[in-house]
Amino acid sequence: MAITPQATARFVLVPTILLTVVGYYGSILWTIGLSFTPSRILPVSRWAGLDMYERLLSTERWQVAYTNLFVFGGLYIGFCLAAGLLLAIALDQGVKGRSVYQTIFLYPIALSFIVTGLAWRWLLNPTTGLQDYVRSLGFESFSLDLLSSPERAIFTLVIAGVWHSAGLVMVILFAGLQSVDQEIWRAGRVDGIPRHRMYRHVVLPMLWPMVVTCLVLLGMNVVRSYDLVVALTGGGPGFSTDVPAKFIVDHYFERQSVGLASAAATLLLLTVVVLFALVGLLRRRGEAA
Amino acid sequence: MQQKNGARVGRAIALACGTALPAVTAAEEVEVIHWLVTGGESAAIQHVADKVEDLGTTWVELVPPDGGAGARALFTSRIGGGDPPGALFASVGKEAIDLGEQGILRDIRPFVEAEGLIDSVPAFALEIASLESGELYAVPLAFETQNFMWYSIPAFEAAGVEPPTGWGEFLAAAPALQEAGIIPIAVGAQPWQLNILHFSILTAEFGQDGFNALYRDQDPAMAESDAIVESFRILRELSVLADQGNSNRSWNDTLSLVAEGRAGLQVMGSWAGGELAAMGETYGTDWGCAMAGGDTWIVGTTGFMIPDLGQESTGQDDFVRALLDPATQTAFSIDKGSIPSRTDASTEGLSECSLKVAEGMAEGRGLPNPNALLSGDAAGQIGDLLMNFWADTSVTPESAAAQFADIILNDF
Repeated sequence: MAITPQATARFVLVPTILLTVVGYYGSILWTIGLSFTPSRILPVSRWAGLDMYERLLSTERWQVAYTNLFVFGGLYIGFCLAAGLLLAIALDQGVKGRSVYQTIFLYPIALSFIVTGLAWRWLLNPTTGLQDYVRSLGFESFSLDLLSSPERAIFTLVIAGVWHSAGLVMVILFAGLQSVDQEIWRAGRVDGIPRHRMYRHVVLPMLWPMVVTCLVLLGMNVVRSYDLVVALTGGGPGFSTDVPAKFIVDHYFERQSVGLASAAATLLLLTVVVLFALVGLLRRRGEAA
Repeated sequence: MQQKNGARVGRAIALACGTALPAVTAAEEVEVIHWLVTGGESAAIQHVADKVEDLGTTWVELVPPDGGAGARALFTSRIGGGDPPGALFASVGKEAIDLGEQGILRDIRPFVEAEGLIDSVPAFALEIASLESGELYAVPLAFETQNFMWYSIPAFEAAGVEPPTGWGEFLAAAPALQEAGIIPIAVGAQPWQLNILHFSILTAEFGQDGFNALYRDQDPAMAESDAIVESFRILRELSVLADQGNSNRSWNDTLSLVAEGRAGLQVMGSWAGGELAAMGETYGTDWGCAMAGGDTWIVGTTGFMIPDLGQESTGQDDFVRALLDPATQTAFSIDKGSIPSRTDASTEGLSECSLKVAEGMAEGRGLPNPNALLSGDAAGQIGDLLMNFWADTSVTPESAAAQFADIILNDF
């Protein structure tokens, strides 16, 4: 019997597929299973029903962390898209020294979130950072204490996050703008349509798939926004800037509370699945349009 | 060609067999998982390694790149794979009891008692890793003091007040410090740092008996006593006295405020002493150390958990002998900035601050780190409670104390 190229290809892929199914989906199932057990330091297989979920949902820290996922996520994605788009349009206007600006705005993305967080933490620390410096210049009443206020500290995360990621959005959207056919612009000019209306009604809808790509990339940053939080606020003051990823890591690895952490991880997974299904819908809408 | 290949295969088979058979002639070895990698720490563990080699056992160290979390992951996977390592570096405490109860660790008591190695180790350091029926699951190597008060001598001189010896005294002196433009107390608001501050205050408030009643015996009368409310009241006053920049500040950034004389004092463990010296500050003229209130030292016990290998192992035995060798302990502690777990080990060469602790320990004025008596889960919940209390002034000391009691009493 002759072996077809397709059969060979399938055969070669078997290890990869097995690895993905067992290593990835297997781990997910295992985590979901653990969330129904009272596991502490090591996994146990005793059934505990929804106990861990009940405890989780009544934990104030989880409520704060879960809410922050949406507060931080919404603001971060919104501002990143807005800032990135404006920067891309500015570049598209043909400013002088374009590549210099491009490098400057893209540079932060080369830094890890840990470095970003640390840098902003030092800048924003009222006792030793910017506030102290400006006061030492003689402006005694200058106040910049975002980091020490439980209500406002979440915005420091947004600021640092946008500073970090807006450049990425800029580059992706700028590439999109560059690929827009010059004929379309010419047609617009012939019809006498103002530039801003061209952007809003013609060019941007054409960029829709790229916006969705940015959305997905930024969305993943939000879900795994562990390192930024750890480096910048540590979840504080109090636990006002906690996020689900940090809650989960703390409970798995520091508190030896495997059951509770698994329940939290499962809820986070559910949330992500729902959100990404929504993004999928958006993408399809874009394609249909 | 054929023959050559045959010979190669033969050698490979011989090699495979050789590794499969127990190495009878080779020296015994012990595999040790630890993460003592910074300058002083790695010099310290080297003393243990040298002693192990002196006893005739090969020292094999497994050092994960990502510290404690990585070590625990490595340990868990080795246990899961049926190939336990010889020892795991750990803070001695409830984790050892948990793992011991699951049959993963070796009861080390018969061996160390037979060799007379633990006679001078303070009882609490053994109790925190023992079952009530006596099984001992971890070997204490050194003590890290938790409740030190590191103060800036120039700061207190500028304010014209004496460095305090208790919390009442400190609160009385705080306005003078503030008037002199000095931050009375430098705090880094991270869970573990607030925890050290809180249990230092708590222990100063209710002493050794209260400590044991609360953390060890989980006595409801103690958990609901006024001393707990008072400790939160003091903590609330401190949260007002601390500077704005305390949120998520690392302990060494916080310490530099003391080193620069911008802050009066910081409550932090013994490791801060080495850091102050490393910052180029001189003990006695720039900074001093004292107990953070009360008369009892709270010490974290550093040591090793000893897995059950399922068979006799001279390598593992030699390792335990090295850990509890008085001279090795002293050498380790000098480099690590800790104090030996054996109170009969020489204290020559220890720093002035360490000597104060060693003296107290020899007099029986020592207590374990409360975290060693709590599950990781409960310790974490207390961290959350403290973080929230510290940042949110609308939480009253009474309600914080009630939540605190709740966590302690529900821990198992």
